[in-house]
Amino acid sequence: MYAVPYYSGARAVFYNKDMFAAAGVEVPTTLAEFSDAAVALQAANPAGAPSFSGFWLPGQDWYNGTAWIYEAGGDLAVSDGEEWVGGLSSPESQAGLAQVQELFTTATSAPRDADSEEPWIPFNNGEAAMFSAPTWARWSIDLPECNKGVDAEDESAEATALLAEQQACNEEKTGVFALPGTDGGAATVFAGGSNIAIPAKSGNQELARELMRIIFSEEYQTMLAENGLIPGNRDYADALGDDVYAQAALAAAENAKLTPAAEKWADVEGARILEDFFQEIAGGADPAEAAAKADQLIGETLN
Amino acid sequence: MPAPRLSTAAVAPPAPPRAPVPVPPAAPGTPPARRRAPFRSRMGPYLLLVPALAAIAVGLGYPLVRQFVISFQEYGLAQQFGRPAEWVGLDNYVALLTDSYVWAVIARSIAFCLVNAGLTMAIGIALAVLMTKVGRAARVTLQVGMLLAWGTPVLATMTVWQWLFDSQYGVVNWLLAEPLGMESMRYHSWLIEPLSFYGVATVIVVWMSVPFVAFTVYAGLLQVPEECMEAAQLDGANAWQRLWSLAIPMVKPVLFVVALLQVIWDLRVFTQIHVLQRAGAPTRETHLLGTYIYSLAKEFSMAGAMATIMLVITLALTVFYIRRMLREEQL
Repeated sequence: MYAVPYYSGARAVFYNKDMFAAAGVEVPTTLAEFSDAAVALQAANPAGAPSFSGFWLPGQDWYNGTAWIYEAGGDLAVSDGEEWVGGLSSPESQAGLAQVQELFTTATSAPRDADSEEPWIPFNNGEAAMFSAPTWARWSIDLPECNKGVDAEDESAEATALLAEQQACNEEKTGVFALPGTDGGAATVFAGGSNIAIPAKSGNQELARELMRIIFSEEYQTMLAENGLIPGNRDYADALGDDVYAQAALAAAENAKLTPAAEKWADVEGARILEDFFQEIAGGADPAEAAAKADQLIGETLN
Repeated sequence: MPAPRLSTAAVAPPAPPRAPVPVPPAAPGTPPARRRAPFRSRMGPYLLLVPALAAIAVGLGYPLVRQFVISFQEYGLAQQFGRPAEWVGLDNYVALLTDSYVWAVIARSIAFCLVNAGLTMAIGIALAVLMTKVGRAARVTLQVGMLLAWGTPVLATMTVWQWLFDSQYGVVNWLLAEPLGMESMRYHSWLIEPLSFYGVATVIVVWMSVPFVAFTVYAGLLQVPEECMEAAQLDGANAWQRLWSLAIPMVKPVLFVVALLQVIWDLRVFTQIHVLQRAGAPTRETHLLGTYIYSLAKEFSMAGAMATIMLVITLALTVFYIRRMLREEQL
C-alpha cells in the first residue's frame, strides 16, 4: 500500500428551486434530462438577468466536464500496460464531448476564461440556475432574498441567530442532487480528494504513524464528516448526517472516478492541458481536432 | 542658423559628465603608496568582502551550480524521493532545443521583453522629463502616484488588474459597454486570445516598471549642471535640442543601467504572466520563459536545462550593455 485515502469531496449539482418552478423544470433523473433542463432554464431566464446560465459551466471547468466523458464510457487517458495514451479521441469520449459542447453553446453563459472557482457567485447573483461543486459549497450560498445583512465580524447571539436563519432560508431555496447518469442513478463524476502517506525516508516513522492513528481515529474522522468532507474511513461517514447534502454527496461519491493512475498525471494537471482543451471545446473548436492535439500532449507528458 | 552653434554645444558637454569619473581611478591610485602596510591591514578590505561573497555563494552560487548539474541528469519525482539520478549528458538540452514549441516560447519571450523594456523606458523617461518641468504640487502628485504603483505588492495589484479585466464583472468591460456604448464588449474576454493577453500583460508590466525608470532618470536629470543647460539655451538650442543633445547624453550611463535591468526583468517576468494565465487564459499558448520553466518544474532536470538556456539568452541579450558598462567604468 502506497497511501491511504484521507478525505474526498464529491461534486453535486445545486439548483435554485424558485427558478426550476418558474421555468416548469423538474429535477432531472437522467443525464439527457439534465441537459434538457439546463437548456430550458437558459431559455426561460426566470430572473431576467442580462447574462443567464441554465447551468454554470465555465470554459476551463474540466472537473465538471469530465463527467460527460466518463458517462459516455470514455476516459482521459488509458494505459496498454506499457504506454499511456490520451483517451479524448476515443469514440466514447467524443460522444461525451459532443454533449459537453452542446451544453457550452446552449445551456451556459459562463465566460470561457473562467474555471471551476467560486461557481456560487453567479448563482447568488441570480445569473445561474444550477452549478456543480463539492457539497461544502452549501455554506457559500448567499441568495439576496435570504441575506440578513449581518456583519461578518459580529459575533453576538443575535447575529448568530440571524445567520442561522439566513442559512436555513438559503438551504430551503436551494436544492441539491447528484448529477444523474445516462441510465439514471448517479453519474460517474470526477473524484476529488486527498491521500496521505508516510514517506519511506521519513526520519520520524514512529511519530508519523502516531499521527496517522490520530487522523484515522473516530474523533478526527467525525470532524471531517461534520464539515462536509467524506472521511477516508467510511464507517464514520454517518457523521455527514442524512440531510439532502449528505445524500447527494454520498450518491455522487459512490460512482466517482479518479483521474488516470499514471505516475506523471500531476504533470498533465500542472501543464493545464485539460483546462486549455475544455476551453477550446467551449469556444466551438472541432472536438476531434482539439482532442487529437490534447491527446498528443497527454501522451508526451505521461510517458 | 542655430544648427552649427548647436553642434558645438553638443560636442562640448560630454566633458563635464566625465569629470566625476576620473575620481575613482584616483582612489585605487592611493593603495600603492601604502604597499608597505603590514599583511593584516592589506587583507582587511578583502576580509570585509567575505560576508557578502559568502551570502552570494550560498544564495545564488549553490542553486546555480545545482541547476547546472541537474540539467545533465534525469531528475524527476522519483529522484526526489531518493532514487539515484542518472547522468544523461546533453539529452535534456537536445530534447528542448529540437522542440519547435520551445523556440516559439523563446521568440515570444524576447519579443515581449523588448516591447516591454522599450515602452517602459520611453514612458519612464517622458515622465522623468515631465517631473523636471512641472510645478511642485504636480510633481509631488506624480511621485506619490508612482510610488504607490511601485510599492504595492505584486499579487495585490494583480488581483486588482484581474478584476478590472474580468470578462463578467470587470470595470473595463463595463466602461466600454455602458458609457461608451460598445455593447459587444460587455462580456469580452481579454485573456483568451494570446495577442490580447500579451497586450493586457504589457499594460500591467509597464505600469509596474515605469516608476523605477522615472525616478532613476529623474535623479539623473537633476545632476545635469544648470550652467550647461543655460549655455546651450544662450546658444539658441530649443528645449527639445537641449534634452536630446545635452541632457540625455549626460545621463546616458544611468539610462544604460536602467535599460539593462529592464531587459533582465522583462525577460524573466513570471508573476504577472502566471496570475493572468490562472485567470483564464489558454496556458500553453501564453507561456513565456518564466512560466514555461515553472510548468516543467516537476521534471527538475528539464526545468534546469531550460533555466540554463534562459540564462544564456539573458547573457546574449545583455552582453552588449555589460561590455559597454565595464568599458565606461575603466575610463
